[in-house]
Amino acid sequence: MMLAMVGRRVIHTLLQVRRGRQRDALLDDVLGYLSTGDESRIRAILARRRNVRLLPKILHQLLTVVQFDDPQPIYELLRICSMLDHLIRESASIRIDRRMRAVETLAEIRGPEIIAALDARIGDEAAEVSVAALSGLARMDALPPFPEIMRRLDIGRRHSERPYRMLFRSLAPGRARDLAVLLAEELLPAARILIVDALGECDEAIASKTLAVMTHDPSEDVRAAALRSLARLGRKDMAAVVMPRLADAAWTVRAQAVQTCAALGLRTSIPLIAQLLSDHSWWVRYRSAQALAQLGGEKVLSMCMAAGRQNETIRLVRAALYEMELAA
Amino acid sequence: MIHFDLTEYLSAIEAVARSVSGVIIATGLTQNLLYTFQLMIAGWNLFHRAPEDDVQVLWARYHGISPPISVIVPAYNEGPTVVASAESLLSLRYPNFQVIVVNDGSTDDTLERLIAYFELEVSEYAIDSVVPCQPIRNVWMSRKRRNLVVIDKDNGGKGDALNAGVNAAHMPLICSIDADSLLESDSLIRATRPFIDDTDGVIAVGGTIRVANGCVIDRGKVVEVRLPSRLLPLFQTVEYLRSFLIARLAWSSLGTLTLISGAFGIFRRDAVVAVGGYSTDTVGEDLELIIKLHRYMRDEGRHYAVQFIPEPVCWTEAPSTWSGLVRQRSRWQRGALETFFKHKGMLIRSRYGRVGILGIGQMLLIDVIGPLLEVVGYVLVPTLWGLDLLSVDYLLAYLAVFSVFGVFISNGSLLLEEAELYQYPRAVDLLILLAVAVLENFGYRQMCNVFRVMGWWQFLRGAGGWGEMHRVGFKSVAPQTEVLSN
Repeated sequence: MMLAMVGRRVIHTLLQVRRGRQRDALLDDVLGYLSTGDESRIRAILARRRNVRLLPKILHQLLTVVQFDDPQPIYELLRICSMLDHLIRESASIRIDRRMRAVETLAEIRGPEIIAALDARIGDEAAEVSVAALSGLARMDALPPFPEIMRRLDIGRRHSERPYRMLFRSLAPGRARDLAVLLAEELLPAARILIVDALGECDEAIASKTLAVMTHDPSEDVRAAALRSLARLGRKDMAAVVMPRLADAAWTVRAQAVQTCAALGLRTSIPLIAQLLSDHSWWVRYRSAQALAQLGGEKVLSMCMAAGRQNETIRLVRAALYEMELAA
Repeated sequence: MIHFDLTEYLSAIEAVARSVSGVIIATGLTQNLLYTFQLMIAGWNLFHRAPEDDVQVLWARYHGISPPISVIVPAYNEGPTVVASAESLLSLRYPNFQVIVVNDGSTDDTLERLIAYFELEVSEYAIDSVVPCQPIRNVWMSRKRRNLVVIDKDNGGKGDALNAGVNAAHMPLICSIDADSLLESDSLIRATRPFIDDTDGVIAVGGTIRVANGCVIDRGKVVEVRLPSRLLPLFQTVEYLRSFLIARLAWSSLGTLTLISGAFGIFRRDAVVAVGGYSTDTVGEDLELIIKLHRYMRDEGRHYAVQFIPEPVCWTEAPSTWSGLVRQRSRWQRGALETFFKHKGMLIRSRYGRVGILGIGQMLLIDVIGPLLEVVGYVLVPTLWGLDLLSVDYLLAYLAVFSVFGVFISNGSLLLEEAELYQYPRAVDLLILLAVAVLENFGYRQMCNVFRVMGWWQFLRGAGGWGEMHRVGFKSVAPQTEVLSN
């Protein structure tokens, strides 16, 4: 067994060297074809049949680092080399790594058969496969309706919302109404957080109205997410929505409300935030000190000292001012 | 007149000898079955595990959604290596993190070196004192490295230093790492994936610890993986593969992982705070933290996971002298015993499920009973056989269980590592490791068990502390160049 392991290692090393050379040659031909359209490069690829199997991996690595404006040449290359069907089959592989690579590659190119393959991967057991499939469909304007996406993703039960966050943010602009309608359905808090977070990317009036409503959601995490989104939207006219959350029962919501007031530059919230310097939660006190430093600057420190605040409060305010100084 | 029958007396002694030897051999066999079970589970897990993509692909997928991390580095008398260590951590490839070096009352120039190199100044820094720790003297920060925080505090031990770091952490995840450890630049982004996939469930993740002795290090990064040139660290290389990689992978997949190494582990800060931080009354604070987390989460009836994933790698310096190894192993044994006896109430209780049966159960067998019986056997079995009180079958069985079987386990671990993880690129390294995997079971393993019995003795005497480890530091091939500020 020991000798077999050593022998295997030697063979593996030699094969790696050979594969490396094959990959380099293939990459050279692929880049040559994609950049110049030189069809002799395709002939060179097809001439080395063994290399053709490496094509999906090469393309996947290339697509990770290079954004192609027109993916049509890649589609043609795969079709001519008969690797398109192979990729589509791989997208349903039982191995997650193969599915992932295939889906990520397919997501970068366009074609009618590709849409069906990507659609089948929505709700994949591996969230990153699902994310890649949805990204690809979005690029092709072939996304299913949001209610169907949410049903298939089953956020909160099968998947957490975090892997989908950036994707939904990128899909959200122009779709605020669709997202707002979703919230009328019975969704788990994680799913509501995902939608509320995405609404933070929508300029439409309905987005901020919906977020205002969601600041009263039964789940504290959803309320906090709504406040975060309002901060991202930068809607100063939401002061009447944000400021009452400074008195929320949940410390996470109060801390987020403080941050949102600071992000929106709501100087009218200074007295309320100053009261939170005595909150029982350290994080609320800390965020309050940060917010006051941001809203009031050095004057805040003198205000606290004049008010006879405790040493810990003074320290927090000084720390917040120092952080601002470092960041400047 | 009392008749004294010598034959009967000898028969009784032989029976006792056979019984005692039988118990020792049975314990060893049970251990071996456990190791075999670990190997099979780890093998299954590795074969079905998707190979990790390279860091560029991971960055493209995860950098936008990776949670922020506070990396906590407790440092006590780490003068020769602390700057390189901090610099190496600051250069990790991760979207949002801070590095908190906790100077735990060092008596050498650890703090002075940091101040000079990073141009630190005493600063105001908000600290949430939720877990107890020794008083903090000052907090130092750098205008050049805004994500570096250095805490100078009174000495309180490693657990206490980590608690100070927990208090200072402003991020939802904390990563505890030893000051002499070297993280690969993609370790954080790999290790945080479980927290993304299961945001509310995963509370702790551990990665692989490997022996850095012999590796080529450049500016705090392992640039070439090589085996140690000395035999003692070589033995530990194989041992780390078997214990730190295979065993932990197996237990993690069963949901019964009871140890994430203090050299590299990532935790949810709120979970660590909920259990009161690291205990300061044990030298096994890393082991005790995980047990506490299991206990707390099960008592609360909450869904949770403690995971080990093999891809993120942390390189650490293994003791290269016998005296260093003695101190380390006896300390580990003390830590295991302190933790076991503190949490022995979890053993085989239905509320703690598999953790109580498999997790704490294997601690009982391997850490509590195992070393004692094995070392007693080293003397007893050959002696009894020499005195003709035990047949040669027992002696052979003993050797098979405590030496030969170990060769199978060690080689099995190597086989798995070779098949799936492929860390040592040269064929000659594999050959050396295979030879070492045989050799370690004839002398090294036995000595380690003796050191563990010494740990038992220290535990019974109530001895404390870490002892000194003589750090040789990592040899760089390239001269340290001045680091450009961000």
